[in-house]
Amino acid sequence: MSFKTVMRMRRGRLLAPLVMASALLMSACSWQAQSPAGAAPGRELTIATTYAIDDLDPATSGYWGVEFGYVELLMRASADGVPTPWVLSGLEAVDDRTWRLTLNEAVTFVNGRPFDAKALAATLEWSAEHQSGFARSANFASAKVTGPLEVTLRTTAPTPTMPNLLADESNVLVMDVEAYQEYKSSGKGAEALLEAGLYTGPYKVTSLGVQGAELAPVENYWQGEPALDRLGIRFVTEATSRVQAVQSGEVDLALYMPVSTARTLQGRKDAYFLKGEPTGLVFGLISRVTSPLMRDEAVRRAIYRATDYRAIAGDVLQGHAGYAKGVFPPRYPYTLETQQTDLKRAASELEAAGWAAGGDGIREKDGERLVIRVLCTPALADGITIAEAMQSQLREAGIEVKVVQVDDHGAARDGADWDVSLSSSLLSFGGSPDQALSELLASGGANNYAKIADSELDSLISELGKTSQVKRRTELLRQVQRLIWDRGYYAVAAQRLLTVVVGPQWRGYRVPVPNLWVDHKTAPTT
Amino acid sequence: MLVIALRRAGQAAMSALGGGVIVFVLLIAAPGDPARRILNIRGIEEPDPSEIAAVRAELGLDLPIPVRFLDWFLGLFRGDLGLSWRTGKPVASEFASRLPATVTLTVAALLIAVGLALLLGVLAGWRPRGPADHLSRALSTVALAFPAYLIGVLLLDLVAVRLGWGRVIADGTWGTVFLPAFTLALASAAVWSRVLRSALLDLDAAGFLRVSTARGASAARNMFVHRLPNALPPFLTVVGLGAATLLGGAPIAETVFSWPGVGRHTIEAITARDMPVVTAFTMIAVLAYVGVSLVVDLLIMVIDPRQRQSRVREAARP
Repeated sequence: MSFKTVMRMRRGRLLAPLVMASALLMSACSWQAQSPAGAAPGRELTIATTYAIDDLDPATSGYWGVEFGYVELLMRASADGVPTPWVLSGLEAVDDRTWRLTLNEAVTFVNGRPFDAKALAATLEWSAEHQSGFARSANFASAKVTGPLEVTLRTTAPTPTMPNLLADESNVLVMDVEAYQEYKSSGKGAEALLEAGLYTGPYKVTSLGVQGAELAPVENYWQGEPALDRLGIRFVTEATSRVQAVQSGEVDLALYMPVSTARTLQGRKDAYFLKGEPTGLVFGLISRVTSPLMRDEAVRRAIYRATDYRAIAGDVLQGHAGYAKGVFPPRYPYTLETQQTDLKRAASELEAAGWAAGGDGIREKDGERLVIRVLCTPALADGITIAEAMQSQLREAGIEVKVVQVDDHGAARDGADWDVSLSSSLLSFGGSPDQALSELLASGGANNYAKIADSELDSLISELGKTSQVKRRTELLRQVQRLIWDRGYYAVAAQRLLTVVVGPQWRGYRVPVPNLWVDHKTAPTT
Repeated sequence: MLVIALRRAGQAAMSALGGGVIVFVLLIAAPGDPARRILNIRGIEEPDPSEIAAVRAELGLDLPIPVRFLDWFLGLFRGDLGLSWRTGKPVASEFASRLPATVTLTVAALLIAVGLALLLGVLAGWRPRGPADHLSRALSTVALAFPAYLIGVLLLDLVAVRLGWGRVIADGTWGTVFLPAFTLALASAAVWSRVLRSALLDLDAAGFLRVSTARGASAARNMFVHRLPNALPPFLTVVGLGAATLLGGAPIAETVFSWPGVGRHTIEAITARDMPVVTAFTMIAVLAYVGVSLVVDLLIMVIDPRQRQSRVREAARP
């Protein structure tokens, strides 16, 4: 082999990586010429969401379909907490243990089978067996076909919140149980569900992968022609990337945006920050009543009286959260405005309870400083910001706040190393308060990690669960609201608003109640 | 040579096993209840204790830890990486659908990193303390000082959003690989280029260079015929070790660029305490690391006779 040949080979080896790197650069540039600059104009919508949809199985992932227009519910949640019929045309309480469900006409599954009374009864029975939330709360006894489009549902106990339960995405999905059982017995993989046509929504999933899903409009959809020719869903974990995808025109709608995004988009013409109205999502605060400090009711009350709810919503969260005057949304018929910031009263109650101001302003009693630990998690966007705001607000009342950030909020709440925790709402997705009250605040409740045990509260919650009469329910719920405020059990720091970022074509998009992002009328607004 | 290769393969297997044990133990010790997280991910925000207990039983979390480890370890030999706690699907099939994207990304990143490192290293080594050397140092400092996450976000903003080149949501193909691969490659290229520069400068006093210069060889000939081939062994060693760490860096780049690979899937699994997925990813990373190290060792022995003789002597030692 000659010297020149060896040199050529060596140069070739050395140059190979450079040449390949250049080729990659070229491929990146050439891609630009071959691909569209963004979502094609017209009746199309591409949504970027944080959470991946693994499959179409109603038992594990079906609830996502309700949010993206390929699954429907019997009832639809509303801004005032009173659900309205959706696939049902009517829901009537015959007595306190009997409900009459009437279906809309000509509702069919994507696979062409009719959603009639027989299919409805099967759906209710399957849900009572397989959907834990419904099984736990609905007191289901039987579902009998009593007409071509009518089913009579009986419960083992009074279930006044049945309309809310049927409006909850975790409970009763409108699905073809027979087709689902055929799929299960076939032993086929999850991809077979794409062909099963299990649901009744305006859109059907045509492909589902690790990056996202593609949906097409359903022909002969029972409510009329869907407004979109194409619907895409992209799974994008990073909030920054979701915004950038809107700005670059790759998606039209980015979901679950932190409030801080609003400021970065001010004055921009390629993306807009939109927010919805209070729907029951909240930044809740709950007291762990068994911790030594929090046994003192005066301390619990003072914490909630010293919290400046108006400042948290308006200043801290820049107006992108609702000012919480009570624990329920303002439009709910039974909402009471219990939450009032009153620093002087907080201070005087603490004085009366023996908590005197120390040298640095922090109160002390019997040599113990008034230091509370507020538990929060980075997983809840803006939760830490609220906890830090409380730190400065409560200091004015002589209460020191230590912000405890944990990765696994659920596990930490089961422990004893906290006094106040950021908490979930007292309302279900369907707008019912009964379930959360009995599980979160009642003695022995399944999620009563705050160890609240108050016989008066228990009695109110118990009566609420059995009461169907609206007037009496309103009275009971108002008593509950007064009691949990007066005894310092639970408060709402701010009403969380659903926040999205949209592209120019979707600037007029109306953020839905609750997060039902797509229905058959959803269309570009400009 | 065969004995050396077998010995290195044995070491590699032991390293992989050790890595697996460590990861398994760390995940067992990690705080948080996977059953609760899985139920949260399945849409049950406030699961009750009976639901949590049912999931724990379903996942075998109530079995003794040694039994769980043995199950997992024996499964590896059957290609069974277990079931994902989050999705209930086989981890092996979840990885199989995502691995091609990650391989594409890491191969592209490796090519870019090697290309950049050679370019910057040779430029810097050509005239030490010259403009190219300063430029190379500045670029390396920037690449090392800024985390990949920040570089990725800035690149997306500049290139994809403002210039309209490339995509924010990459699709896992060669057409969209450049930005995530470049982000992933930058830190490695910075380190490797400085190693190459040092190796080139170490040869300044070498006798063969003086002879070559005396015989009238040009600077270019000295660089590419004499200095660079002699500087390659240390360069290749760090490239080999660093190449596998590219796989470790993939989760960040994949998350920022929404790259549909194993790395992003693993980040989601870490959040959900999906132990079978996390453990499987770590095993793949460990195997890649020891595998590439093995290949580099053998490669160096092939191209550098001094190394070959030294290893043969070492292997022959009783």
